[in-house]
Amino acid sequence: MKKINISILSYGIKRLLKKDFNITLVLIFQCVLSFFLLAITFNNTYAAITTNGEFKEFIGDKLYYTVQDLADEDGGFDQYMDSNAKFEDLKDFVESLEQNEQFSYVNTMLQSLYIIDTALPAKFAEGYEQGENALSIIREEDGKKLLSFKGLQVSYNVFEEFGKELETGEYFSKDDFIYDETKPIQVILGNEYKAFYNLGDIIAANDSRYDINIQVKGFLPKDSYMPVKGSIVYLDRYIVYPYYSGYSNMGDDKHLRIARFTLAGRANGEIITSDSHLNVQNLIDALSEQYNTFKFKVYSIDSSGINAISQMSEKMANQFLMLALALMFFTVFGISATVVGRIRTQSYEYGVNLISGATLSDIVVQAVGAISCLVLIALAISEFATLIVIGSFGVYLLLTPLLAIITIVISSLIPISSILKMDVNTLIRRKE
Amino acid sequence: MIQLEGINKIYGNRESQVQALKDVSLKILEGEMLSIIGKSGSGKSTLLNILGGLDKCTSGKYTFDSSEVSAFSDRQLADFRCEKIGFVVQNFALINDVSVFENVALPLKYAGKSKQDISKRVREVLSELDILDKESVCPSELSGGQCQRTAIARAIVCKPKLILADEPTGALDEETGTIIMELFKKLNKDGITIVIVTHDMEISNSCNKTIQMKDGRLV
Repeated sequence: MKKINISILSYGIKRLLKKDFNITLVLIFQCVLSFFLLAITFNNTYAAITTNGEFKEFIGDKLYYTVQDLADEDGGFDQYMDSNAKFEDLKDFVESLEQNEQFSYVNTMLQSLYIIDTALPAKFAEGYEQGENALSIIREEDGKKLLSFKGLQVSYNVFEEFGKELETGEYFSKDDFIYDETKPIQVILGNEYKAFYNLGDIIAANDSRYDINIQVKGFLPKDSYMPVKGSIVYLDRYIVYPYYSGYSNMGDDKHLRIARFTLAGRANGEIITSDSHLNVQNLIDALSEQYNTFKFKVYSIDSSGINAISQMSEKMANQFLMLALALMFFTVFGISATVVGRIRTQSYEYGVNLISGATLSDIVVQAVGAISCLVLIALAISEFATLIVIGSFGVYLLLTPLLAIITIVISSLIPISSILKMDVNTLIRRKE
Repeated sequence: MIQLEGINKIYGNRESQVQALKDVSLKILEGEMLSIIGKSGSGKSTLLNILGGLDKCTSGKYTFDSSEVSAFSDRQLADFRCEKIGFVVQNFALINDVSVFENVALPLKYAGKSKQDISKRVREVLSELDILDKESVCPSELSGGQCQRTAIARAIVCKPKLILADEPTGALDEETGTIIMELFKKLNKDGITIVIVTHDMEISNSCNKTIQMKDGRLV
């Protein structure tokens, strides 16, 4: 097989693409748009399907319940806050939940954390996604400005239960769940915080109206998420911190009050089990009676939350497929029609090439080369644009080259057929 | 140099077949200047296309310098056209929106020559044909005679052994036509074999051999 003549190939490609150059630019733009939209849609669909798949994977066939106290109904909460005995009862109740072997009991709570005098961007602030004026100052105390940032409190077993790993740093130790005001509180930060903090950094913060220091113990991988009370929460902009289960200095009124609040929160956790709703409610009722504490209501969130995500993923995947097919069709049609049109208007020129030593195969290679150039330029631009918009490398970077190859192959079929059907004799024949 | 034995060419499918050449046998010696005459549709151009390797015969044997051209693949035919044949046609077959230089350089590009070799050889040929000053001009800005000189320059740029000219003066005035024929005679004197298809008896008479075609046969 004869080696491809690069000089003649580039000459032929230039001739095909330079003719009506504006149309070539429109085709490149159309191609860029197709690849870009497909990559973005694919990326989002892939993330939703993966999220749903992983969520299903760690929940499995089990059911997901939230436990909510009814302490406010009969003034029980005030009694609890004033009574050491009630505190001990609730503590025993919570420990019995955490140690229960019939189900997994975890605790996740969306709880904003105040950071003092910070210049962090608004995207980390509480309410940013809801369009609120997120960076407004929540409080000013002693000349210090407190701003509210998105936070998630977790119990010790949450990361293990949901199979979550860190990108860098270490997960919380059991000691991190015992509050000691002489030590900074360990936190794990969402991936987008990496641009602002390093491992070991200490940040001045405020929790429950008390000034604290928090220290960065680890960073989560990008796109990390956690089920919180039945909803998926993406943690890239969150501060994850421990749900304290104990205090080093319980004699102090301040600590006792915080400990009581915290324990009440820990009692409102989530249960993952194969058991039915009724059985779980009966079990909780029995335990609350046994430990003489408030009544609790158990809510099932399985059917509403997870299935909704599943249906949404399926719908998105279908829409993705339809969009992909429509865009591919218009792109392929546009390229094919334009190249065939140009081949026809250049047929005389191809005749000249043939008497100069070209074969039809050379012309086919030039046409496919021109299509490939056009598509590959579009691919490079779209990959760059998508990378900027999405901000990270992902599976979409593999999808678009695959689509580009398919586009080149399908777009080339009609032009190739059109070239091979050329009647060489008529291309330069004189009129007799 | 060239030998055709029992060449037949049939166009079309089974339902509508046209036999353009019927049992054509012919010898062309090296250095000859041959004219082919005949009415329209007599098969002259078909014969020229087969001689030039632009088309394949349906049956028969075509030998060029002891190589069997009729058995060549498409690639071999392209190389054959590039190395051995120069084409000159009535309407010049030039690419109008590229320069004279680029037009003449095209066969050398297909022959895989280097940029330097191409530049040197093209200028040599343009100088020989007295159109070097037009190298950067597009054919659309040239006179008919200059266009045909450009076409001849392209035909001889790869130093072919055979030039096939299909009505080379058909689009030119008489005076320019005469000049172009003088050019062909000069090339023939330099050793290039020339085959000219023409309706013009004057041109035919200026060749040293003439064959006539009628209904696809040599008469």
